[in-house]
Amino acid sequence: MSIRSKVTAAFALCISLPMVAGMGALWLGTEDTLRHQASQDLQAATRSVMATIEEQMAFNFTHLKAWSSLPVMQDVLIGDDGGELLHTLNDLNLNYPDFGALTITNAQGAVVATTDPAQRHSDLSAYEGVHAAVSGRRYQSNYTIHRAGGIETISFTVPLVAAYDRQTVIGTLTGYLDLQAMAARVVGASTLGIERRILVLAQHDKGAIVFSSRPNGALLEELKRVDPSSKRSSYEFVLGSEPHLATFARSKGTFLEKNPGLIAFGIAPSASVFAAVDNVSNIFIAVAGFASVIALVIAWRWSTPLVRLASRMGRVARGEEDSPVPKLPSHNTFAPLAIALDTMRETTLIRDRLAAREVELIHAKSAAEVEASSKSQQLESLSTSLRDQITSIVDLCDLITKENIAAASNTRHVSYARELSRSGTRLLAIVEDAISNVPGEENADFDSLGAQPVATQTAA
Amino acid sequence: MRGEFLIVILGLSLTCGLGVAPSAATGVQAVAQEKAAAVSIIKSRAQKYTATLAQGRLFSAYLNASTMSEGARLRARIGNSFKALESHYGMRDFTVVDRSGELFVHVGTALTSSGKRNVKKDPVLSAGFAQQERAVAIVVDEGHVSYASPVMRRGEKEFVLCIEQELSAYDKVLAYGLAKTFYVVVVDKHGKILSDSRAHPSGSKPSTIEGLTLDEMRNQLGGSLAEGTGRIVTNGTQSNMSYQTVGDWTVVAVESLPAPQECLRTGDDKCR
Repeated sequence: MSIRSKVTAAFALCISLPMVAGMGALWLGTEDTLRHQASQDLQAATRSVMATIEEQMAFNFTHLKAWSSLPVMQDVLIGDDGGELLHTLNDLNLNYPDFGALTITNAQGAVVATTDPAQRHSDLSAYEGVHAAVSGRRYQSNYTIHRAGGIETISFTVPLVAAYDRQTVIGTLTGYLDLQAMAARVVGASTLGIERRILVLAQHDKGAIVFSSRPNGALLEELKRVDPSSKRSSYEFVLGSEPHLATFARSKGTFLEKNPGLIAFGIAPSASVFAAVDNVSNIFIAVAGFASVIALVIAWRWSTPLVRLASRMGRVARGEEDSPVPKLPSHNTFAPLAIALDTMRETTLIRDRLAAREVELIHAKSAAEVEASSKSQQLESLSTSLRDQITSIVDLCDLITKENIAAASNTRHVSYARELSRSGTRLLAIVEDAISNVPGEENADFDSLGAQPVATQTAA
Repeated sequence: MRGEFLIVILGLSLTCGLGVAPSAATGVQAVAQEKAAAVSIIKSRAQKYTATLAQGRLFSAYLNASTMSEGARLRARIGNSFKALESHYGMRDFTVVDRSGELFVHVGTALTSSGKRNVKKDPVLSAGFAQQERAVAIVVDEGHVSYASPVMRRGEKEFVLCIEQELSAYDKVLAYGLAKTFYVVVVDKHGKILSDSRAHPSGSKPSTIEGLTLDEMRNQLGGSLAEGTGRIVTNGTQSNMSYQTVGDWTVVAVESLPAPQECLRTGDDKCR
């Protein structure tokens, strides 16, 4: 791996690791918050639907109470023959479709008029609601079977009071809620009505399904396992290989005679619930990718001068001292490193020059020593020759002197011989002095001979 | 402890007191009230419909119609509006007659004559034309009650709307939900029984109530003109009776009671 790759990778890691760690922590926190929020939204929608259904029930109960005071309700006194009760009930039922059926009985419980063909001419005297209403009480019945087809539903029964004394109960008015239609309308106006979300309405105690916005056997089986009494507010389960989230809300019976005992389940695919989470996840991934690219670019920029310095250092190490060190701005992080490298390069350059000079001097010293030795030998042979010749001359002079003193009466010649001998001796002494004054090879100090001038030269 | 006991006793007494069945007289009075209300309903509704229909805009539109075809169309619409109410509250025949006695619209089956009527001699038409705007005349005839109201246009009575209501409708109303020991009759201001909850195979109505005229009954019961309740013994039979007035009609409820023990023991014929 090249130095460039290593440095870039190192920088990238240094930059991206903290970034990834920070963003990861942020992402985990955000995801947790968003997931919680998403499940809360679903639960809020479910509660809202349950509350709306209850409010709608209460409204319908109020409607029923108001209708019981209509003058036409007095027609219960004349029975179903010729009156306008049926016409009125049909009109009311048409305009208030929350009621699956409306039924009026007389005080004896005999059906006088009804919008439910199955109840026509029937006797409801055994029905608890009629009993209560005849006693002057309003009554709410949960899941009584009085509709055609045996549909279990919630019904409200109110007394019809005689107009002539305002106290005698002359009949009862019962409204049977069409829970399915009502729930369908409510869910249609809520966020649970959007695609792929499901509302299931069930009886709390029996667990019987009252309404499902999307009938699904597997889903209903799955819901039977949910324990609404537990403290958990949401459940996750897999339906058709797709994870789903379910929340539930129980009815409270607000504004009603009693709690209708309903429980609403709001169900949605986890993917749709956590779509926001996924969006944020994608954003995080994009930001992380962008940050990584930025980190790489920054790493590349930061590593570039270092890589150039490293390249120059290598060349300096290989002896290419002439190669210039890159000039970095003073604010650059690696400017001191460049200065240090330049100093090192110059130091190396001087060291190499000194070494070369030393080699030159050693060579010069050797040559000088050889030359001196040769001169010494020449002088030595010359002096030997001179000494020998002079000695011969002196010796001959001496001999001449000794042999011719007696024979020769001429003293003047003797003096001449003597003078010649003396001159020869003196000459020999001079030659020997000269020879002895020639410096020897062993006495030469070549180390100090050339160092000073070179150093001086270098310093100069 | 004693206080709590007294409270319990008091509570039980109150409960028993409230739970006590109404006396026989109260029961017959309730029936009379209920049936009076029922009679009032079908009578007042028929009266109201007569007045309302007579004020209908279709009549004005018809009288302002510029072409024959438009008039015929409006005439048909008037007939349809009557048909929508046919058999409601016992209303069976709807007739509109102009000032000349000419039949303008008729819906129903009981019309005896489709010819021109004598407005002055026909009691219903004359009563109808004699009424003010929105006022309704009620004329009781054999087997039915007629309601008549004028149709006004620019202060002029152009037509009279007559609606006939079967008296058998009253019979059904009186008999509806009635216990077997009771019967109820409707008596007009002259004491004639107009309607009876008891089925009479001959179709004729009795002339007296338990052998008493309306005034005799009132006197024996000691009630007011508007209402009264009490027990009457006639020819050894006793009955609870109650009456309530509805306009100039009176609704009388009668509860037949078992014969007194003394009669049962002696077998006195007077008791029968």
